[in-house]
Amino acid sequence: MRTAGAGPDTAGAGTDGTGADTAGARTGTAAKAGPRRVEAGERGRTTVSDRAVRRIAEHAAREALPPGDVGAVSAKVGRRGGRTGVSVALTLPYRAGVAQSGHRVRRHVARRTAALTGLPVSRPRVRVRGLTPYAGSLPGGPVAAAAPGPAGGPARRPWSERRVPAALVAFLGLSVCATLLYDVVCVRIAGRTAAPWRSRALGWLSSHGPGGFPVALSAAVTLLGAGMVLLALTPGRRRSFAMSTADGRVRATLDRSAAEALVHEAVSGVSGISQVRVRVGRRRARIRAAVEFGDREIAHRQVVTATDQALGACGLGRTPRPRVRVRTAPGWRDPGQRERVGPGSPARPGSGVS
Amino acid sequence: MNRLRSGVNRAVLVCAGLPLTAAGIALGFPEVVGRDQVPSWWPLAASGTVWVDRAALAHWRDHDWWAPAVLAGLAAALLLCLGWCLHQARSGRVSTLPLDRAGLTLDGAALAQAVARQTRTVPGVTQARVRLAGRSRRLRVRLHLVLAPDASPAAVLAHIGTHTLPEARKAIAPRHLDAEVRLRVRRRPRRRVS
Repeated sequence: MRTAGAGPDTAGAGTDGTGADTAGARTGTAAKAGPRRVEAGERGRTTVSDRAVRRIAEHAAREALPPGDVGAVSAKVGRRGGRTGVSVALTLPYRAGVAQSGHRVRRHVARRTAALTGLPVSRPRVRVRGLTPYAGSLPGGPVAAAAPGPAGGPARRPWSERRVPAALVAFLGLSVCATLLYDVVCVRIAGRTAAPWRSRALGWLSSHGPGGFPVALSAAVTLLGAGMVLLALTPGRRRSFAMSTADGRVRATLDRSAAEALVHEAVSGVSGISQVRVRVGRRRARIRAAVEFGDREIAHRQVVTATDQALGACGLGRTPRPRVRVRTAPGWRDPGQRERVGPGSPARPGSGVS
Repeated sequence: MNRLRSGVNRAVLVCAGLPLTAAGIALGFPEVVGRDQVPSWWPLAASGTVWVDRAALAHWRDHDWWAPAVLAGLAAALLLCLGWCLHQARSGRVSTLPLDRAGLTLDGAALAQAVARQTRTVPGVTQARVRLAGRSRRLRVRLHLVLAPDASPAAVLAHIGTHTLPEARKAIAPRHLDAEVRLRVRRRPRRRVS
């Protein structure tokens, strides 16, 4: 800050003369305008540098809220004409009412900066660039909803946006229009003759008619059109399933591979089971496994239980019906046969299933 | 998912696909069946006509307004196709969210990171990627979560619905926030028989 002329800082209207908690005693009064007679001690001009205004704004932002809430403050000052614009970027705590906190910071910054620098600060812009974890919010406890949203109905299947086919069609139309436009502009404005491909195409069109159209071409056109209509009418997104949600404002999907992985994990946890193959579809789930040792019936029942549990835990809107097939691995031995090793021991009926 | 974009794309696909199908069938049927079997009302079956009549085209070209009309029409179609093509590439992400009318803004990435940080504390979630999308009136937060193989998706979803989302809704208080959650599972490498 430069002080032109003699005289210590005077306490102008509304300023905190010492500028106690700001960056040094660098604040001053605004430039006095007007041709009135000025006292000797008040002569001179005080200019507040941009750096000073910035530091004041940053400090004002930090002290607007309880200490520790506001972080990573950086301010920018811009002067337009007679007005000084301040914009501050900061982080606020992630809790209810971010808008209110931001509003408080903004008001405080505007007031303090104008008071300490004496400059006419137009409304400062505050940008919240981060939300820091707030110690007061409990991560464990449930939060009471402000207004319960609509209850989730039956799970709606996610529909694809068909962006790629639409982009292809648009690109095709774009290229056709662009070439035609270029040629027409050349002909009409530059005065050149029509491009050879255009006159050839026109010649072909005016000498041929709908009769004698090649079958292959019409078949291709039909397939293309039918394919486009099919794309438009079907939902798509075949690899994700809709999950049922309690809140109507939330839509959740689970990938098909995720459902398969969860069932795979659950079935592999059954003792004695190996070579698990899982295929989950929208209506059916096929599970194939091989049992290495132990009773086959018991293993089958355990696999069915594990599958039902896993599919239930998926929370899908429509749970696929499982079909479980457990076969015996090549090295499997009937557990009931181990009893028949001795020469005299009879085979117990119903022991094990071969 | 942007419902407007999806609806417009599908409508245009239908409008472009139906005429193609109809033309293909109308043109191909007489060839396949034989010229004599075609009923009288079948369109595009007359064999004497041509696609473009030179005389009619010359008559149109004589008009003064033909050339400017063609130019304007082609230019409009070009701009429409270009705009529509570029619109497909937009991700719909919200970069800054105005919190009130007087210059207070919130970065969309800031809210997304805060939600992601909270979501990572949910038991069963190994990775979380969050993005904020939509417009000021209908904000959508998109969560892509990767779960552990022994996690329960229903439980994770319930936890998100009761903890994470209400916190986010309270933070941006008067606005509404919808959510789209996509769950994946990290596969465990194959292990031996237990």
